[in-house]
Amino acid sequence: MNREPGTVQKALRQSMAWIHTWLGLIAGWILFAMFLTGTASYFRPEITRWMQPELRAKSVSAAQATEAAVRHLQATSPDDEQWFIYLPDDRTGVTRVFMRARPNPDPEAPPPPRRPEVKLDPATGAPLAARETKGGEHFYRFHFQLQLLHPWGRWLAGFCAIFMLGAIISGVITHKRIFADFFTLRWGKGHRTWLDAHNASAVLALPYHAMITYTGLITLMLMYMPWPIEANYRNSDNFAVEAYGRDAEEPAAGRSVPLAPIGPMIGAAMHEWDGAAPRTVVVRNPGDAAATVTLLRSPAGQLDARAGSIVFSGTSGERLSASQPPGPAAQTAGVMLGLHLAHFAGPALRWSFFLLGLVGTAMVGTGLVMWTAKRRRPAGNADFGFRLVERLNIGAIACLPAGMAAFLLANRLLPADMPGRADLEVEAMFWTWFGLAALSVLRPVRRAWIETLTLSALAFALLPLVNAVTTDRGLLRSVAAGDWLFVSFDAAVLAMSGLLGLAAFRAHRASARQGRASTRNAPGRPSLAA
Amino acid sequence: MQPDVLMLAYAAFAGLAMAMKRHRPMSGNGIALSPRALRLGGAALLAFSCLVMLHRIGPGQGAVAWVGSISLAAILLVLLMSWRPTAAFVLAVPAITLAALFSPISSTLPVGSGVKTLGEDGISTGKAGEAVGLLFVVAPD
Repeated sequence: MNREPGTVQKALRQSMAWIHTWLGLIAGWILFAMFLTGTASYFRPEITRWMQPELRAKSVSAAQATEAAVRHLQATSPDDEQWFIYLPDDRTGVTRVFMRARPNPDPEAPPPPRRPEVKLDPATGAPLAARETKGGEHFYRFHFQLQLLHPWGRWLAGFCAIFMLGAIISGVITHKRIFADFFTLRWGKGHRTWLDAHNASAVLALPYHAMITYTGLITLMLMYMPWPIEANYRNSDNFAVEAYGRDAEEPAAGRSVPLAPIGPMIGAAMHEWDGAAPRTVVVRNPGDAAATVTLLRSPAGQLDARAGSIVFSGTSGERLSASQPPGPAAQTAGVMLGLHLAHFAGPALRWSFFLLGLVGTAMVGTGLVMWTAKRRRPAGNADFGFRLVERLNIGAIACLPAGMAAFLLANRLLPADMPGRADLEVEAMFWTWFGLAALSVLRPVRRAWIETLTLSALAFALLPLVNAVTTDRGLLRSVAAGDWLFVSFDAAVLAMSGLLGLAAFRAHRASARQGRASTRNAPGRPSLAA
Repeated sequence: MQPDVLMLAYAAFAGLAMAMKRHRPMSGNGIALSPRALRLGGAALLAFSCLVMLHRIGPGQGAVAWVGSISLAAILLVLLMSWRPTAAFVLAVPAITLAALFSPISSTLPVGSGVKTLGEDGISTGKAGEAVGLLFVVAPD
């Protein structure tokens, strides 16, 4: 065997192109949904706030919010084993508390029912009443659990992420002219345009795509690859203790001693953390002689998503212990998670990541469309595989946005006090998404693209309107009140509507061009237009 | 927000694109710089934008924010180039001018306080004026 280096290179490139095409196609539809809902999840707390328009954010200090929450908890559940207080920040605007009851001493007794989380007014500690909704949490969960039973959704998402990583690497090897074509984007040239758009969206944001795919995989690494821990730790809990430190687990002493004020503990912790605020307060055995207060530091402003904690005595306020600084491996994992979640990012960087996420969505979408654009025969393709891909593309790319808009519309249109409304909102998304995809099969492909994209655009355009009619926080009032969250939300959904409308318009124009070209040609002669 | 880094990166990529034969605007419209100078200038601007970001928000988050910013700047440029190529290149001039207005002040002060002091600083306008003068050579008329 004495092959020319050029031949070898060509063969490598061809096999990589094959891998790229098929990895990308098989995982593409799910990846598109993961990219789009994941991109929306950059604004997880903001979406939740939009979906509970009854609540207005208040900014109070961490100490003030904690004291207010503790007053509420002491009045309502003084005998619980643990209180979790999630402090408000400038993005969430409300305090959330979760209580865990003391386990029944009788081992035969059923475990106490898990109580739902309660939202509290940060300033007064009074429980807040708002419509039931999954909020931004829904897109976030769907992004990696795909609405499937645990753990299958996570496994499927993981497989797709591995395919994505494979597609990125094989795509870079396949792409012969990364630098020569760096700035190239030509419109109106049929499948050449799809290739340009796919290349541009992939190459120009390549660091982002590689980062988000790899860190996403790493996030669930222990689930896909449990063997290193299994081989080294008889009990995998020991690994968690070694890597992240032990949680306070002292049993109650049975003597009641009032809980020391937590404000001074927060002051001491913030001093120790150079001014960083706590994010969560965990009170164990409140009102007991063995009470402890654990303060978890907010990871805002640092790349590592896991921040340290300090434990105080709940009776004397004395500092008992603090988490060890993380080892290099734990810190690496924390930074990977942090990069993926982008909680460290301020508004500007978060918007940048959001836009790059949309570029990633476009990369997957253009790749999917390119598969058909390259194979489309002027006389029409009869084979089942081609037509299946065509239909799935419409279902994933053009119908999912309508589903997401339906989820948000349902939030405004279902009565605010309706029982089970949170699940109905989620159902609205999937019925709309899959229902529209199923209906679109009844239409010719080109018409189906135009019509589903138009419906998606309309659904997004309706959001500001429905919001203005059903709440007192419409666009004009939000502008007048300086409520920039609601203003940005309306602006963002209108921009989405504009993008989808532009896509529908271009699909319409391409279709019209195609129509003219085929009538010009004699019957039976293949049309030359792509 | 580091809008100046975005604008610097935009101008940098515009320089790099203009250096390529395929994207260079037709001759005879005022481009005085050779492809080599454009390439070097673009690379230097890109490196400078990196330094600004790292200096301002530290090496860890700075590197992340810089890579994100230049990706966005490149995407914006390519979208504009595909639509109105000349305008896309001409926009590099106001981009770098505004960046020059922002950079010298905000990079020396803590993040976020830059904008408030704009206008109190005499140096900034001088720098900006210089940058504009310099760039009219590059700009196609």
